[in-house]
Amino acid sequence: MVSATPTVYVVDDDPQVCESLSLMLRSVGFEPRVYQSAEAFLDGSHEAIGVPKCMVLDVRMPGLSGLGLQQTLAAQGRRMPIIMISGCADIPMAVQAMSQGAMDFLEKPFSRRALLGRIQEAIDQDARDQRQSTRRAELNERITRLSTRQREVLDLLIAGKHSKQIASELDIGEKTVAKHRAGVLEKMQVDSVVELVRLMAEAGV
Amino acid sequence: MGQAAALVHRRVDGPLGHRGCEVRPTAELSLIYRVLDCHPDPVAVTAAIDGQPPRIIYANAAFLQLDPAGPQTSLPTDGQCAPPGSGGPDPTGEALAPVGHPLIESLMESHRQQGLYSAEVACDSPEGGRQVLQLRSQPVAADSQTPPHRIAFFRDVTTEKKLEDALHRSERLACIGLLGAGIAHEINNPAGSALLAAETALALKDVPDAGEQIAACLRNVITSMDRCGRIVRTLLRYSRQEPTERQACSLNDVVEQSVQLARPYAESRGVQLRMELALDVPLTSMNPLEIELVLINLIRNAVEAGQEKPIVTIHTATEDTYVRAVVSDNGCGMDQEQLTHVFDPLYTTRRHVGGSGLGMSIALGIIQAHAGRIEVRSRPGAGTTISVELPTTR
Repeated sequence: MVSATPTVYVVDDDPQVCESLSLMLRSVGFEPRVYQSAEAFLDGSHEAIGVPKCMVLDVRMPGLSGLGLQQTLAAQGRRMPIIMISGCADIPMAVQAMSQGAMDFLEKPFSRRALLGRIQEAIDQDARDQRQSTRRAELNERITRLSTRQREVLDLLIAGKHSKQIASELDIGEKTVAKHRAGVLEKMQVDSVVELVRLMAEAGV
Repeated sequence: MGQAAALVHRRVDGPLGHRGCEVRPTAELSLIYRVLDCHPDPVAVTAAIDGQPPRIIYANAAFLQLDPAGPQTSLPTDGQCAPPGSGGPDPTGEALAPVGHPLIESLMESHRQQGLYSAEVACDSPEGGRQVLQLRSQPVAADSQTPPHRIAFFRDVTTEKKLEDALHRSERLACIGLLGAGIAHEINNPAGSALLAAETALALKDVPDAGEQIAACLRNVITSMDRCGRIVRTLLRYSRQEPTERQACSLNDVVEQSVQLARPYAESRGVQLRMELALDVPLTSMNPLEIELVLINLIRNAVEAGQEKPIVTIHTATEDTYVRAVVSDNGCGMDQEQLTHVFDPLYTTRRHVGGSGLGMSIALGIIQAHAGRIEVRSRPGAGTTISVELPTTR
């Protein structure tokens, strides 16, 4: 699912920079998608689904700047690792980019190795993020299939309560708790409470 | 300039006059001329009599020192006219002045003007080297007996010009300092692009069938390095030391150069620079670096005018007798008080952000020296439009 050719979005107003980035990305087997302005990206991007991706984004552009695009994407809930690049980085700009969640900030001119290293990290990061969000979606979907009572038992199990404590908190018998517990494990497709807790923690649910 | 050949250098201490019109100077006139001889600056009186080409009918000692006639027709400096046939100037006014000497040309030009005329004339200095003289010529009120005369005063402004050049150069360098960050950005883009493309080509060298990709990389390197070169040339040209002289230039070219220098600065401040160039702009005599300095100052002011969706437009236009460049912004504009002081040296509303208050006064000085006009239109909240006009006729 996340093994397809990774996509790298390039957003830079400089046509030569776009071209050399695109040549480099293609030479190592990434799929470059090039936009010469933030607006062009927002207008034209049909995001690759199920493909690990990242963005190489120029900070200074006429119209919407790189920092502006970063904010817009965050506001739209579109998440992907962003590597900022700039020809005249100043510290406040770099600080703002990083605090807005940029993965890295490279000053032009940068070497191929430095950029490729960052891009690989970003792609790996995105692949992890995508796996995690897929798993989270699956778990959330399973949770919706629980009954109200099962949901209560699930919450208490995750909080680390024993059957006896759960029985007294929910004011039901221990046998009933055991029944609900088995139902929860079955619907969540796990064998043990330990596994359930680990899955939920990994998916950040 | 054929008419210059008819200019004659004469002292009026001897017989004064022109063909068929012998005039002996009165005692008062002689005295006035002797007084003018004591004047340290060059002075000449010219007249265009009976529709004849203008001639110099009097030149003081300081003027003769400049030797505009050259060695062949050197004029007597002892206050006497050379006798006829002695090889000196013909007292009847037939001796030829050297064609094309800048001083003579400027005097000829003054006779084509009505009223006051001023110009700057560069010529060789008698002490060697070049000097710059400022000519101020005005008509002498004529009466019924005398033909129209003009009196021309020259002032040596070489030192002033040098100081002015130094001021302009430091202002240019200050501009470079300001625009520098943006220009570094400009260089970093193609430099970064070339670096990546070259490294990519190298990485592909052993990959089968990568020839087309490698070629694309190398083409990118070439285009990028070419761009680097152009940026550096622009900077060097702009910051070089020697003062430049006037030459025939297209205002469009000068506007393009200025925009190229200022664009990175504008973009770093989120300002969109638009350029609309007129077709067929005639060549105009100007000092391109100085006009560039004017335009960059205007663009800089416009960029810093502070606005919501900032757009600065520079357009050129051609009229009958002049070319025009107009810089307009949609910024905060100026109130009456600011407009009154806009050309005052050291007047600035942006001292806190490094404004020197010199830009507009230098711009005015440059445009006036080009016999041009600079006009400011502005209202608070309605942006500012500044137009610069340079005459196309000589």
